[in-house]
Amino acid sequence: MTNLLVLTILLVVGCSKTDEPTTGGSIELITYSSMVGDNSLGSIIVNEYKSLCEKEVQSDPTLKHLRCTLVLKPEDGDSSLVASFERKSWNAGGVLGLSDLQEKQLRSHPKFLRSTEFSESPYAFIVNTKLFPQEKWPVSWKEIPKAFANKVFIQDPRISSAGVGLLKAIHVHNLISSDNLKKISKKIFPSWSLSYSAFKKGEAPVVWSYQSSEAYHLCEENDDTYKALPLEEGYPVQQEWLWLSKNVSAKEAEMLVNAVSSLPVQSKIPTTNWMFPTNAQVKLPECYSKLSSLKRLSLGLSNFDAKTMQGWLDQWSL
Amino acid sequence: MEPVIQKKTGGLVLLLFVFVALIIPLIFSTLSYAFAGDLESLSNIFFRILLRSLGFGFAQAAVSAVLACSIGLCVGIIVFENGSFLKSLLGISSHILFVLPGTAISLLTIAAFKNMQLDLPPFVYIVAAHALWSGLFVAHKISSRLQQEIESGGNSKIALLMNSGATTKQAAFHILKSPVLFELRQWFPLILSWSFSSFSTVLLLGRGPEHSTPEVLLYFTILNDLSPARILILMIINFLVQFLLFRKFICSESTPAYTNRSLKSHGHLKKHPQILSRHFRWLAWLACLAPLYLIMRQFLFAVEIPSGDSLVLIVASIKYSLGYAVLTSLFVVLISLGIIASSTQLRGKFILLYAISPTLLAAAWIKIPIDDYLWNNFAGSLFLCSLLLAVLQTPLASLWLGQEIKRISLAPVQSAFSLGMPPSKAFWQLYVPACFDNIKKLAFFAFVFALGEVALASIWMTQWPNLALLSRKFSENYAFSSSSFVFCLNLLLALAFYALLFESSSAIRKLRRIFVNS
Repeated sequence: MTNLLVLTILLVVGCSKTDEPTTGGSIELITYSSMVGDNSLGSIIVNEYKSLCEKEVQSDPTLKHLRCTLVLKPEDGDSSLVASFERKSWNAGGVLGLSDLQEKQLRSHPKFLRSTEFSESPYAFIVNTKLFPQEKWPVSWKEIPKAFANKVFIQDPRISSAGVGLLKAIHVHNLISSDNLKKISKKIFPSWSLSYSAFKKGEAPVVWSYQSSEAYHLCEENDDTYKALPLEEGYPVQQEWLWLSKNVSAKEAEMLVNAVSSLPVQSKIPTTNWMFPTNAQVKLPECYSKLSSLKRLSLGLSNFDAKTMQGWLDQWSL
Repeated sequence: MEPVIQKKTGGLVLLLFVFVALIIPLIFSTLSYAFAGDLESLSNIFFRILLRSLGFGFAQAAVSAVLACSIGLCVGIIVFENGSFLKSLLGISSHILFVLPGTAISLLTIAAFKNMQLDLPPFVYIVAAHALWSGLFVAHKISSRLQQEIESGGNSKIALLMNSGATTKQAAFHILKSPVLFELRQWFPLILSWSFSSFSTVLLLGRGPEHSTPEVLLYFTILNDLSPARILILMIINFLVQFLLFRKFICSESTPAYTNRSLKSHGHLKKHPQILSRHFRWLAWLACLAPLYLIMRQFLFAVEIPSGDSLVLIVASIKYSLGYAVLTSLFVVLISLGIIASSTQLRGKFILLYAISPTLLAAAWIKIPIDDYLWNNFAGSLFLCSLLLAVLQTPLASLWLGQEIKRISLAPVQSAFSLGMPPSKAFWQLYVPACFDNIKKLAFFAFVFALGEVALASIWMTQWPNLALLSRKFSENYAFSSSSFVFCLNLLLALAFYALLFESSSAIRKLRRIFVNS
């Protein structure tokens, strides 16, 4: 019996050893699943990092210790699970795709080295024009509770970065109250992808998403059924950040930041990550010119930390 | 007399599995959370949220338990009165639901109510899901209990009372009231406990934070990881509530002997007594079985074979599900035998660990610093999740298996002892083979329970989702046809495992016979 137990444990632990180690020859970045895979933005970042790193090693032979292999590991669902990111990213190289609020939460964290913004987009209500005709559209946030009562798919800010945008709309920009937000929500989803998928099945006429969602339908599907709703007051802006842990050296961190900020990577953001690039030199694709014109609100946060976020989430949970 | 015990092996099993997987992480995490020192996060607003979740948890659990017992009572009596076909049907239905709890029931409820175009409050969906799942189980138990009562002399007792002038209904009510009440008293706290700790149902059917039980609140707090003090408080609350409810359950008396066998000589009834009045029977039929039929019908109409990415996901998920279920099943059998082989005193205390929920254990394991070695790869996550799930199942499993082992005839064991066989050999070579059928049953239930498990999988195996987790994702995504397909697939896997365990030898025998004859 004892032998059997020991054998079982050795077998399973042995199996676990066959997987690639998390440290050693490569740096791991935790990110959301759509960033990983062939022809994704992630694969472009990986190639760019490799070429930058190899050039650096060739020009300076003393830098041979650099890890020139970058591996992107998908986090299931949205990229907003700060806890699981933290837990995993200590052993990896960092996180790609944190929202601006999470970035602010982690700014003072001793285990992170530095961050850089790499993409952005205004949040927006995306409306299915077949289910909710344009004539009935509200024009300001004040009209939203009445016009969208029980019609909107929203995301849970406790586990979704899209949902965090709603907290920003409530607490930073005072665009809507918590009570009114609950009134307009038809269902609260754990992630943006699930909510958007259900929205596309026609289960609700409106979803809380990004302006770039409209771009996806226009550019990729040539479909103008789904439109971003322009509102007088405007929308908060979602920024996405690359965070690097102290697990990577300063030189590696610098090259990673350079890789995600480079023109080859940034120019692919509008049509792979479906966000707006932060590099001003990038020319947006033609179809982006047809997007609804939305007013962008500035971030408007000075003193923000984990406690403030917890307070917001408590208000949400109450 | 207790079975032969090999304390050394039992102690080793306990040390390896139970203490390493359960006790040590719980103590370690409790201390870590306690010493994190963020007491200021325990604000008034947190306690308001906690109180509301406790209120919601108890309210839905109480309503679910009352409704489940009511459904169980009505359906159980109807089935008892109406013969064996319905009884078999009920047995199969209740076991199918037991095989795939939580997600399957939530999915079923959503699919049914969505297709019926009923936009009801989440509380109703949650209660309906719990009552449906537990109600059929209670019904099965009540009808079986009544049958048992009648077969062991109750019929004669009723005939005797009828001879004294009572009507059939009065006599049947008088005789069968006690066993039915006993069953209800036994099942009510258990359903209350199940419904209170129900995770996937509340997560899937609840709409937002106002529909959170402490279990779901703990899940979200783990994901946010903003406050160790809050996690600690939630862990303690969850444990205490479950502990108290479970104590209530396990402290229940064993089945009393209601039947006075001396009454047998006074004759018996040829047919089952009719307890319900005709009108009430029809009302009960409509109230209980009609919604069940409608839900099942809607559900079966929704099943479609998915294609494209969904199919790829499902195929991969079958592998993860099977790995999770087979390994859990193996661990449950090993640990249960280990527990039985350990000292009786330890076993008695071990049963109280049933109060620990999967979410609570996940919260404890988050603090164990072995991330990169075990959690970041499939084999490691599979090993730990299976082990943790098995440890959570073993209190009840070992209790049941221990009772079965006690029933084994001791004559061969005594003979073996007199011939000088050591206790360890007697345990493994006499007791274990003698209860091999029960071990197979245990393996089967552990397997099917792991097939339907969501809580641990949604925290530790998100990259390798099992079928239950996939089913939940599909239904959250309103992909009910795919979700229903996954439900059916899970059911098929359970049936295949059953066939493998219980029917394989007879099938091989049949094949051999056919081969020899030809």
